[in-house]
Amino acid sequence: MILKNSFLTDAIENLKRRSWVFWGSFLMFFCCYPGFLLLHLNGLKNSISIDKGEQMNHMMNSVEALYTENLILTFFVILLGVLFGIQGYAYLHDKRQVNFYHSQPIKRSRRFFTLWFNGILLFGVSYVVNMVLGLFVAAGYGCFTGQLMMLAGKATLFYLVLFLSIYHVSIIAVLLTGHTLVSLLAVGVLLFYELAARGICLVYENSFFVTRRYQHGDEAVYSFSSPIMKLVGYFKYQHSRYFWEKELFPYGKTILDLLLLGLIFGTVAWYLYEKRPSEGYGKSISFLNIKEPLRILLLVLFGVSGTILLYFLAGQSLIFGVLGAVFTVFLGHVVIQLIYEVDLKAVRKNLLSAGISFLLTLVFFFSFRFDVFGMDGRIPAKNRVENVAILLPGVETHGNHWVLEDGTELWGNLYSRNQMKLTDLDVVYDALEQAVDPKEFRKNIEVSSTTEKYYSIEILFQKKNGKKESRNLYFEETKLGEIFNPIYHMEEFQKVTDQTAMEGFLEKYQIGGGEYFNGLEKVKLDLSTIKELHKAYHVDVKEAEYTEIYSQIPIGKLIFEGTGLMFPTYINRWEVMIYPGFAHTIKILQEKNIPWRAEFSEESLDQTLYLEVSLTDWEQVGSRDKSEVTKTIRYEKKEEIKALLTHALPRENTMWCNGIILYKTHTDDLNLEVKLVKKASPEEAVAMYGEYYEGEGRITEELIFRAEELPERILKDMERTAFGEVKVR
Amino acid sequence: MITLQHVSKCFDDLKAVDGVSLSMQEGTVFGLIGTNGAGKTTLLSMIAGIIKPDGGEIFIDEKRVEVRQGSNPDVYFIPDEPYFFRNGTAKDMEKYLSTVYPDFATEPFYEYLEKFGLEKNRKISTFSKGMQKQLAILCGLCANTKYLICDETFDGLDPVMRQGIKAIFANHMELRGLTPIIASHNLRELEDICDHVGLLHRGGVILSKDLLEMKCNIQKVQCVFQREEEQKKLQDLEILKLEKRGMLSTITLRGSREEIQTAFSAFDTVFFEVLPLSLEEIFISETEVVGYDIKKLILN
Repeated sequence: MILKNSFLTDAIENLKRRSWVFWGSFLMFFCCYPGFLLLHLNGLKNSISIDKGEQMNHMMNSVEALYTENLILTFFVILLGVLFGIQGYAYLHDKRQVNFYHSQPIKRSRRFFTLWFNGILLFGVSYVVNMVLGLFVAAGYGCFTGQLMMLAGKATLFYLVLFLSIYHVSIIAVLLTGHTLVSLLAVGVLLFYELAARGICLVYENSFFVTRRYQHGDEAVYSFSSPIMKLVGYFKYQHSRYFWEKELFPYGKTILDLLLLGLIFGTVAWYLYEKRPSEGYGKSISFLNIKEPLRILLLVLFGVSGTILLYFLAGQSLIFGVLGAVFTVFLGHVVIQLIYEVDLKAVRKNLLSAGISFLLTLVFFFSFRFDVFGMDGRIPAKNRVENVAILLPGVETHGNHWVLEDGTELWGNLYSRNQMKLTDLDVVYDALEQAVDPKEFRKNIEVSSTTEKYYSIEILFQKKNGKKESRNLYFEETKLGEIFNPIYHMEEFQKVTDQTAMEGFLEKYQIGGGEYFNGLEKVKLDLSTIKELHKAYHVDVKEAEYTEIYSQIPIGKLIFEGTGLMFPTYINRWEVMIYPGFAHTIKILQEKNIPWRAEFSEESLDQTLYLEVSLTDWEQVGSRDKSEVTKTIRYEKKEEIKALLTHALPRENTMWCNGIILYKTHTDDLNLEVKLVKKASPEEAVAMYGEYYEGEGRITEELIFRAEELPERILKDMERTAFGEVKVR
Repeated sequence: MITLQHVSKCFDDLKAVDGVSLSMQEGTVFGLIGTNGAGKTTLLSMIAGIIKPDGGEIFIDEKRVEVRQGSNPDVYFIPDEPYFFRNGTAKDMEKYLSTVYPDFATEPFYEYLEKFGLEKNRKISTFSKGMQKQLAILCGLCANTKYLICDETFDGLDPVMRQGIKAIFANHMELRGLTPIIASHNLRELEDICDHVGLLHRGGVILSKDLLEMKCNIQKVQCVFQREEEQKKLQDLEILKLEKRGMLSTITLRGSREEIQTAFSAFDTVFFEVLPLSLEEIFISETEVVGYDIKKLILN
C-alpha cells in the first residue's frame, strides 16, 4: 500500500507532469537503437557490395560500434542531461509554481530527491527499454553475442554515469539562475568557462612567454582541469574500441571518475536547492552574492580575449590592446546587463564591476606582455617534481609507432614525451640550470630577430601532485652537446626514444628484413643482415656522443620491415638514422658491399648536363622579383662537377634529421639551391616523377652542401654576387 | 496561534518587511491591510514557509516555521495568482492535493464544485479568472488545514460569490475552527468578515487591533454647542479628531458609547448625536493618531 503522503506518491504525481520529456527521450533512443539498427542491418543484409561471407562480420561490427563508439548517442545523452535537469527544476523560475509547491508541507530535501529521482528514472527507462529493443533487433538478424551483451551493459553504465554528471551540472545551472534561458547559458558557462579560460591562458603563454611556446593544448587543458573540465575530457576516449573492451583501465577508471563527479555535482546541487531563496524566480542570478563575482569573471574573460585579439590584429600595438580591453569589457557589460536586467538603460548600472573587470583585464594583459611576475623563467621546483621528459633534437626517430595502455596511438617523440621518466633530477636540473634566461633570450630576438644562437629544448615536468607542466628552455647551440650528453646516455632516456631498442624488438614485430637507403640508392637486406646491423646500430648509439647526433646529417637510414604489430595499423616500418660516426654499422655495411653513403657514380656523371647553384637574397624577395635578387651559377664541365659533388649530399638526407641540423640545412643564411640536372629517358623520368610526367628528357636531383664542407670554389664564385658575402656559419 | 516576532525581509536594497511583530488568534479572521508593496504578500509567504525571513521568528502553534522543513501542515496558502497544472482539471488538482494534504475533503470538494458551477473535468485554463480564484479557495478550504492564508483572494470575485465564500468560511470556522488570514489592499473588502485587523505600511505594522474593541472604543459625535466656551470642556475627553462646519462640530473621540453620552449630557448643547463609525473611519482616526494619513495609504 502506498502511503498518501510519501516519497513514492510525490514521485508518481511528479511523473504525471513530466511525460513529454519522457517521450522525447524515448523517441531519441528509439531512433538511436532499434530504429537505426533495423534500417542499418536490413541495408547491410541486402547489400550486394558486401561479400556474403563477410556480411555477418560487418553486421556484428556495426551493432557493436552502435552500442559503444556512438557519438550521436553521447550527444543525445548530454542533451537529455541538460533537458531533464532544466525541466525538473525549472518550476523554481515561476513565481506561481514556487508559491504552490513551496507552500506545501513537504520538506525541501524530499522535493529535491523526488524530482532528481524521476529525472533519472525517466532517462533510465527510456534508455534501457530501447537498448534492449535494439538487442532484440540484433538477435533477429543473428548478431546477438555475449560480447555484444557485455558491451551493451558497459555502454549502459557509461551513459548513465555520464548522464548523471551532466544532469547535475544542469540542475546547478537552474538553481543558480532564475530564468530558464539564463539557465541554458549557465550550463554552457559551467561546462566551458574553464576550457575557455585555460585556452586564453594558453594563448597568452604561447604569445608572450618564450618558454611556453608550442605547448600541447590538450595536455595543458586536460591535465590542469577542474572536475567539470575532466568531464569534457572524457569524450576523447569514446571513439576508441580499446576503451570499451578493456575492463579496468581506462573504462573502469572513467566510470569511477564520472561517478565521483556525479556525486560531487549532486551534492552541490542539493546544497544549492536547500539554500536557494524561493524569491529567486525571474532574476537572472538567484544567489545575489555570486552575481557580481560572476559578472567580473565573465567580463575579464571577454576582456582578455578582446585585448589579445586587437593587440595582434594591430601588429602588436599596446594602444590597440588597451582599446580592445575597453571595447570588449564594455560590450560584455552591455550583454550581461541585458541578460541580467533585460533593459538597455541598465547599461549605466554596475559600472564599478565593469571598471574592476577592465582593470583586472589590463593587469592580466600587462603581466603577461611584460612578464611582470617573472613567470616565463620559472620552472617547477625540483622537490615538487616526480620525473622529467626531455626531447632532444636529433634523437627521436621517425618510424616509431607506439600504443599506450589506453589505446592511444602515438608516433615519434609524442611517445617519448609521455613515457620518458628521468628520475635522476640532479643531473636533469644541472642541465636545465644552464638554460638562457628568457629575458636575455627575448632581448636577443628583439635585437637581431633571429634565434640562431639558441636552440629550444622541450621539457615536460611530471609533478608529484599528478599535474604536468611543459617548458621550452633555450640553450646556446654550441653547448648543447656538452649540456645534454649525460642525459642522452641515461638508460631511461634511450629506452623511450628508440623503439628498435626495445627488448625483443625483432621478434615482437616479426621483422623479416629491411632496407638500407643512402639517399640515392636503396638496398634490400635479409633478416640475418638486418639482425647484425640492428646489433651494431645499438652499440653505435650507446657509444656516440650527443654532439654527433644533433649536429650531423645522417649518411643513410636503416629500415626494418615487420608484420607482427600488436595493434592493427598501416605502419609496418621502423627507420633509424645512421650517422657518419657509427663505425660498427658502417663497418658491416662496407663488409657486405652495401653503399653506406651516397656517391655519384661515373655513369651518373656521364648523364649529367650541368650542376646549378643559386643564391637568393630572401630578404629582398617580395619587394623585388626573385630573379633580380638571385645569382645562379651553372657548372657544366664534368671534372668541375665531379669535384663539387664530393662535398654534396642528396637533399633527401636532410629530411631524415630533425632539430638543429634540419634547421641548418634549410636556413635562409645558406640560400644555396643546388640542382643536378641529368639526361633521362622517358622511362627514367616517369620512374622519378610519376606516370603523368611530361618532361623534356631530363631529371633534376636536389642536393645540398653541408655547411662545413661548402666547396671553396662556390664560396668564391658567390662572393662576386651583388649580395655580398655568402654567410656560412 | 500564529506569532511573528520582529520579522524582517529585504529584497535587494528594499526592506519589504521591517521588524513586524504580530499575533493571530485561533478561531478569528485576521485581516491584513496595506497598500500595494506594503509587504503583505511577503509577510504571508513567510508565514506559509515559502520565503525565509532575514530576521525574526515565526511560530505556528508554537512550532517554528523553517523553510527547509516545508510549510506547516496546518497551513494552506492561496496566493494572489494561484497555480494550476498545465492542462489540468479540478479533478487533477483534487488528486494531487489529496496526496499532499492527507485530510483533504474529497466529497465536499466535488459538492462545492457543483454548487459553484465549476466542471471537474474541464481544463482549468479555460476557466475565467474569477472561476480560477473560486477553485483555488475551494482547494484551500477542502485541504482541511487549521489556517487558511488568503492573499488578495477576494479580488476578482463578484459580490454574490464573495458573500458565498464568506459564508463557507464562517461555516468552516464554526465546524472545524478554521482560522482565515486574509490580506487585502481594500479595507472595505474586510469590513464584514474580520475580527482582528493589522495595518501594514512600508513593511511595518502601524496598527493591530481587535475590530470590535476598536469599534466600541471610538465614537463619533455630532453636536452644536450653545456657547463657544462649552467647547473648552472637551479637553477632559480623549479627542482623536475635531471638525467644525459653522456651528456644527463633528468629533471623533475615544471611549464607550455610555461614557461619551454621560460626558456630553453635562455639556450645554443645542444638538447632540452619536453616529455609527465605519471601519474606514475607525482606521482613519486610529492611524491619524499615530501620524499617518490613512486616505493616502489604503483607501481607493
